[in-house]
Amino acid sequence: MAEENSKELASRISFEIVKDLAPRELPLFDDYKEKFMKNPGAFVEKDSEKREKMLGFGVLDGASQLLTAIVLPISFNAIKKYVMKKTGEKLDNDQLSNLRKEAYDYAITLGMNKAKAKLMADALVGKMVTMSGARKVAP
Amino acid sequence: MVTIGIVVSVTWTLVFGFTIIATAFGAIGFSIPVRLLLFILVVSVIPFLIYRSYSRAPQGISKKMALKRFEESKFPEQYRYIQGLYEGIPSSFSRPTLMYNLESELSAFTFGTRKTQYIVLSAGLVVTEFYENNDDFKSVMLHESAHVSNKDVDKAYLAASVMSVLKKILPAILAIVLGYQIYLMLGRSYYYESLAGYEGADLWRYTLMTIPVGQLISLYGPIGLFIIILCVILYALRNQVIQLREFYADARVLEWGRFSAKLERTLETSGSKHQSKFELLSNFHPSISERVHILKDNSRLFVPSLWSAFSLGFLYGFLEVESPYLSIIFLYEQYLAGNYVVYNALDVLVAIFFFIILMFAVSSSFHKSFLRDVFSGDKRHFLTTAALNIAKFSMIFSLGWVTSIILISLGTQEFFNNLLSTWVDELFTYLAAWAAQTLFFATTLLFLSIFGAMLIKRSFSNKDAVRNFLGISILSSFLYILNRFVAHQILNNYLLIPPLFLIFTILTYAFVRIRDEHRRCPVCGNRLLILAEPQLACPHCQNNLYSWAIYSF
Repeated sequence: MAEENSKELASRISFEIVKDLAPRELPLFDDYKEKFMKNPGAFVEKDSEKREKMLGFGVLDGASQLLTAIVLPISFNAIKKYVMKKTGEKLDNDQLSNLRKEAYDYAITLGMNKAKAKLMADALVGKMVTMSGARKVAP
Repeated sequence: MVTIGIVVSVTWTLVFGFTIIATAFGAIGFSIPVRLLLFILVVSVIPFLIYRSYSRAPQGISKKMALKRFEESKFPEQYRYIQGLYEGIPSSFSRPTLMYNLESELSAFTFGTRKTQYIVLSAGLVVTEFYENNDDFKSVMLHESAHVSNKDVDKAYLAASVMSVLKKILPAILAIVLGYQIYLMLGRSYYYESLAGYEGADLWRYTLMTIPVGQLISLYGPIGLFIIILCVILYALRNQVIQLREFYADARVLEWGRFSAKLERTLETSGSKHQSKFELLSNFHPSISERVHILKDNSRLFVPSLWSAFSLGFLYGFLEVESPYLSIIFLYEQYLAGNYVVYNALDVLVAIFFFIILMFAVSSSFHKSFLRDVFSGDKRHFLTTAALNIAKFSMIFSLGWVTSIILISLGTQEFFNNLLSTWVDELFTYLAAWAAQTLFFATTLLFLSIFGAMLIKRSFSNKDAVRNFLGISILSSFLYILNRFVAHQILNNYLLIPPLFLIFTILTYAFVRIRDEHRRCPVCGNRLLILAEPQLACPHCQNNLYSWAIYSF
């Protein structure tokens, strides 16, 4: 049940991030969400389905970095680590900073470029604070 | 020509099935009626499996890759853009079903069957490349649409299905035959050893000791080796066929959209890594530099492939040696001996049929060069390239043929018992056989080239082109069979080859000229004169007489 809640919350947070940062990807959001709900692990493998296809054009240089595919697993992990285990508690600045750093690093390992990863990590922290109840403690 | 492609692929499969049955079951000692029954079984099961694999491929791909329908409601901007691209394509183009997947890489591919064809766009291409690099998106879309227009899906997926079935069924047949033979040997041996009074562990020990492992290896080893070599050749051939379709798709895009520079730019910036020759043999895609080169000068698309020549020669050599029942000479010998004439007549008919099928593949390859030569209008170039193509193709075809024969002889015990001097003698025998085969095949190709080019000029519709292609391919096959088997092997007289060639040439020429009196435009029905330079349009109604010609072979 907790897992389902985490996925649902991760989906809502991700939707908001995609809406703000990559609105062109919104038509694909439900497809990614469906795939993610079935198997969150599938998103962690980088280019898991990349292979040569018969009668294809081949692969153009510079794989596209679709935010949706990356933000879903990152939000899910963040919620599991920082929200579900700390129900009722607020995240302090260090925790938020760690969350931000982990999200950034994870995005880089999944192939996102630095500028996009930074934007995404910032947005994630913001949405986590506003949407998950993981309120920021005043300094 | 697609139908011919299908027939060639399916028949090759039958050839292998038949050969395995004829050699392996023949070795066990099955009677001819039983072998015929097994042949019928293979003939019916293998095409069924190929068809099943071909027709189920779209479902499998769709499920495996979790494809989704590309709908206007979801991607209105992209959908309308693609429909706009289709508007610029000639009306004969039947629009495919659009799909998408959730891959972030920038790629697209085409799949389906003859009836339904699909273009799949990756999510990255749809939501990123469409906006950020629209020219690349357009290049990719047009390239995939060209695959649909050229009916490449049919050819590529049929070739893939044949390969997929062959690699499973051939080893399975070999395993069944070998298993059955071991079972018979064990049973027989067990019976005799038990009669000799052995019991328990001793009985099994002595039974196993009597199995002639070396004999089994020498009998089935070469067949197994051949299956492996054939599969490797077919694998590389399949990839060559698919690579060639990539070039044709690029050429088609140029024909449609005057999009050369942008397509070139997309290819050049696609950043594919350099591929070695070996990688190219194992890939579906040609190298980017080759694609760009062919976009600038597509003359290479119309040269008969020497790799095909070698493969066809290799397959033909395999058939001839591994299955004596495929040799026409066998009928003659059996006829003299008064044996099995009815069954062997059937075998010989099958042999002739198979050779004609092989000739379709050769003829198809040559018709591509006829197309270019007939319409280039450069007679000197035509004669030089035709002569060079004939010489190269004949030599390489014969090289494939003789390689096959040498490889088969490597699997025989006699070969290893030979003295060095015998090996040297045999080397000269093989060289002489190679030269003779080159001569027979070059004569056939000369005939094919003369009349193939003549008939292309006289083909004013796709129906005409197919009929002429079939006719001249079959006639060329008969000329080869007469030269090789009747003049050379039965009558043992090389001098008969020129008169046979002349008789064939004169009769065919006379027939073509008589038919010229009745050649009419398929649209207005007016009579058309056959001129030295082909008229591209009917002088009466301006109908394009050669619209069928591009990429048909």
